[in-house]
Amino acid sequence: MANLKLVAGVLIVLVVVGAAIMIVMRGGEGETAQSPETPRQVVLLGSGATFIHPQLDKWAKEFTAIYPSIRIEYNPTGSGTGQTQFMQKVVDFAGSDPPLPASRWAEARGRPEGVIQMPVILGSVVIAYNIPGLEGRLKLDGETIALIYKGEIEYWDDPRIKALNPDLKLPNQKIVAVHRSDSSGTTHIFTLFLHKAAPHVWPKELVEKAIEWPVDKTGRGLGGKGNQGVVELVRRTSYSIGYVEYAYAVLTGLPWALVRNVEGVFIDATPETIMAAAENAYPLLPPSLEDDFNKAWEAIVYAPGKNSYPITSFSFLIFYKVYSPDKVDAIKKFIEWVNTEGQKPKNIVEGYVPIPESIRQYNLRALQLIKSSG
Amino acid sequence: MQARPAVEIVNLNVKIGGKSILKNVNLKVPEGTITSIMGPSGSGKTTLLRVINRLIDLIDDVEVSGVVRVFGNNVLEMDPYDVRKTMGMVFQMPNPFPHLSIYDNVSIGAKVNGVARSKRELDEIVRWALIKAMLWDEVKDRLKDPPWRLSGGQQQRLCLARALALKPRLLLLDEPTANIDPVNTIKMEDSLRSLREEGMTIVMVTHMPHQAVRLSDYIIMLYDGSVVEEGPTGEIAINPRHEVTRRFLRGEI
Amino acid sequence: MDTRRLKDKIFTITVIALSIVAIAPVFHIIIYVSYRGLPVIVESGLEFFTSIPNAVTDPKPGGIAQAIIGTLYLTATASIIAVPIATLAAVFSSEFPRSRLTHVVRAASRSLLEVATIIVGMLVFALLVLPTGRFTAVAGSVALAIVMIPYVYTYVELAMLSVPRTYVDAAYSLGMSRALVIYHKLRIMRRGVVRGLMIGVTKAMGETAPLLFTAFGARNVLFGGPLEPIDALPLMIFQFIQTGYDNWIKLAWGGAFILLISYLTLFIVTRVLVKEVKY
Repeated sequence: MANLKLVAGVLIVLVVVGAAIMIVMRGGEGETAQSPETPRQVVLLGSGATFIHPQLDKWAKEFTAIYPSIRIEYNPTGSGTGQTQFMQKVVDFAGSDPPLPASRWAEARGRPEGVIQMPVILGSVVIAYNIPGLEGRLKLDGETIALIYKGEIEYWDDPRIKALNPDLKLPNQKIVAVHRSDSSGTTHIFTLFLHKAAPHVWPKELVEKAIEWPVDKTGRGLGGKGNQGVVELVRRTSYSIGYVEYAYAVLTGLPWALVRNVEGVFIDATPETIMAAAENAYPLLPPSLEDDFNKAWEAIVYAPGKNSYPITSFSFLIFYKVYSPDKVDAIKKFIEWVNTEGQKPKNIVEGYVPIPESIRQYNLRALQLIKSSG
Repeated sequence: MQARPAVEIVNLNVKIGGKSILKNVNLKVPEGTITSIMGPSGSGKTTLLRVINRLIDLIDDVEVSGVVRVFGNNVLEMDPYDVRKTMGMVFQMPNPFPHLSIYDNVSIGAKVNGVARSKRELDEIVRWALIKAMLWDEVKDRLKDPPWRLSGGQQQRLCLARALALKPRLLLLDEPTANIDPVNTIKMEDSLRSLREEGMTIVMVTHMPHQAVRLSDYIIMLYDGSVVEEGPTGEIAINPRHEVTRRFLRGEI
Repeated sequence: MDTRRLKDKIFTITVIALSIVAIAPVFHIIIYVSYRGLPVIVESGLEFFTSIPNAVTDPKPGGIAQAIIGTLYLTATASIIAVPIATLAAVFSSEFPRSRLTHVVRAASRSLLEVATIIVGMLVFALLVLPTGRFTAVAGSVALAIVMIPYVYTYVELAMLSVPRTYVDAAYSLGMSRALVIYHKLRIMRRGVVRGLMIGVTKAMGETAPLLFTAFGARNVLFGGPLEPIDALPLMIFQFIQTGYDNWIKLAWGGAFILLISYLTLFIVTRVLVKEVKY
């Protein structure tokens, strides 16, 4: 009796080990079959922003389908960690919603590996709302939104909101303002927009990845974790308002507001209007990819242009200037592909917006800048 | 008394944790006899037994001084592992190894000490030991069974067989029948008698005076860590010289 | 007489009710994870076990073969590192309970149990990833091994110390060497030893934090080798469940179900294969 169980145990172990060996031998060099002449697969590691993760994953898979000897792996650890790991030189590139802060950029620039940053995809923040029974689309501007999140506008039928929406039947209900409870680049962009649109209402001190929300003191504020947390809260809370990543909002079916841009036009968030904002921010990009990008990143928010959606953001990839001989070609191919094929509609994930042609060309200058170390 | 005693103890003093357990013990165990070490509980009988096979080494904070000669060799100066291979021990509570079969329980001593060199030799030793322990007929058809299927008395005889498989010249038993039923006690005692007939020296600790008188050829009376008296059973039983012995034989202590 | 019987009944009912409340979360987890995860596997079929995740734009979610392989590999290699070290330490501690080294080892083990596993991950990151500039499966294995060691150590030491004294005496009395006695001690307490192993293994299988900065989570390959980054089930679940994409969320639940089944299987199999030693 005991022997039977021993045999069973040994068989199980053998099966598991055998299967493992088979899989290992089949998958050891990537999932595509390799002919003897193909060189060993180069693996490029990136880490950083969670926002760009689904898009980068799509790019990685499409890219490897064309270049089977290059594999891209990306770890969504958050922009901050991605930047840190870039500085620690344990990754080949980093994904970051804001570019490197000036101090880090200066430090990286001074090293032999150098630094190159480039905006590769566009994101934006929409203002979702939940007003049961409302017919028509809400219109808001930066000042009104700022006043809501400061707690100073209490009711949906406040005259300041009514002034922007003369045709809407707004209810006499208190506004619940939903924000992020965790630190996030989305909050940073949102608060930057509020400050730029209404600096007298929303001061610079309140522009951060995480803040103490004035509306919380009135008891009408709610915090949600991550974009999905905010979405959940808005969905469940009647008469609530919340700011969400556009890429997230398109998946949810929540309505969002038209927002007034700097030219005074109430704009919907669409790929066209988002791209228009980027196009108008292009002149404000620094002369070289090696430069500090912080001003450009601020410039795209509340960007000029009649058709520009005012709460738009760049998302960056951060590369070194110098790569080892075994990786330098792979990196260049990747950068080239991302800025050409990668921006075509079939390779864009819904909710993400490609960069305009002008910025693609701008990014391709990296191919001249990147050098091999050996 | 023969020329050379099986066990000769001279001036043995044992302290455990600073407390004196055995005080200046001197005794001789004649070869080929069943010798009982008897006395009330707390007199140091178990300690004395464990000095002989160096099992006392397993206790922390032990001080041993003196001479303990077994078949001429002072075991206190030998490697304890070598000492133990030459003696078998049976404990008060039956303790066959629970993770081994009946067969493996008996054979393990022989295997460990290289007494048997082939499976056939091992089989023979197991059979011999079980026969000597008067257990063979009861287990011969279930040697692969685990020991918990046996009764307490059978388990104790199994432990005897286990000790015998070492083919020792000296057998140490610590109150071997204290926890088993009368029927098995009789079988156990018969085994011991038969082993003595074949020349085995048997030292048995007991706190039951009638067992000592019934079974042994030689008696050593231990009280409070000292040897009170020793001698052939006949003399001690009929004419104990010491008051303590008398009281013990009468069941008063 | 009646009031006493009534009190007895009330007490019995209360105890039973509270026990149910205490155990209920376990059943809730089993039921809910199965409810969310099993349909995913049934829908995807064999693909779930043989392919990597698809991009979020794909109509089908793909599979999590790389995470399963990763977890198997990391757990196996972590065990190979941790079990001998922990067992040796446990044997030493139980054989020499008063040695100063034993006190140090016991204190170290206890401290390690209290440390958040993310710290272990960061430690291995500093020792293995930073100097070499590479995230590797080896680093992941080392991190998991460090997490495992105190669990295996604690249970094996406990098992060794629980061996009834009388068997130890009997073993020595037969002339067995210390090593042989230790071997038999382990065999007698095999249930306790295996329990320690299982607790260590399941802990390693379910850990995410130590892998974040060591194994990295490579998802575009089935298995890249020990010197490349690697994925693992808990890591994949953690990263996918936070995205908003249906495909990936499905894969995360399917993965959670696989983990659950693995735990249940491990516990049942070891209980069946390793019979209690009766004495």
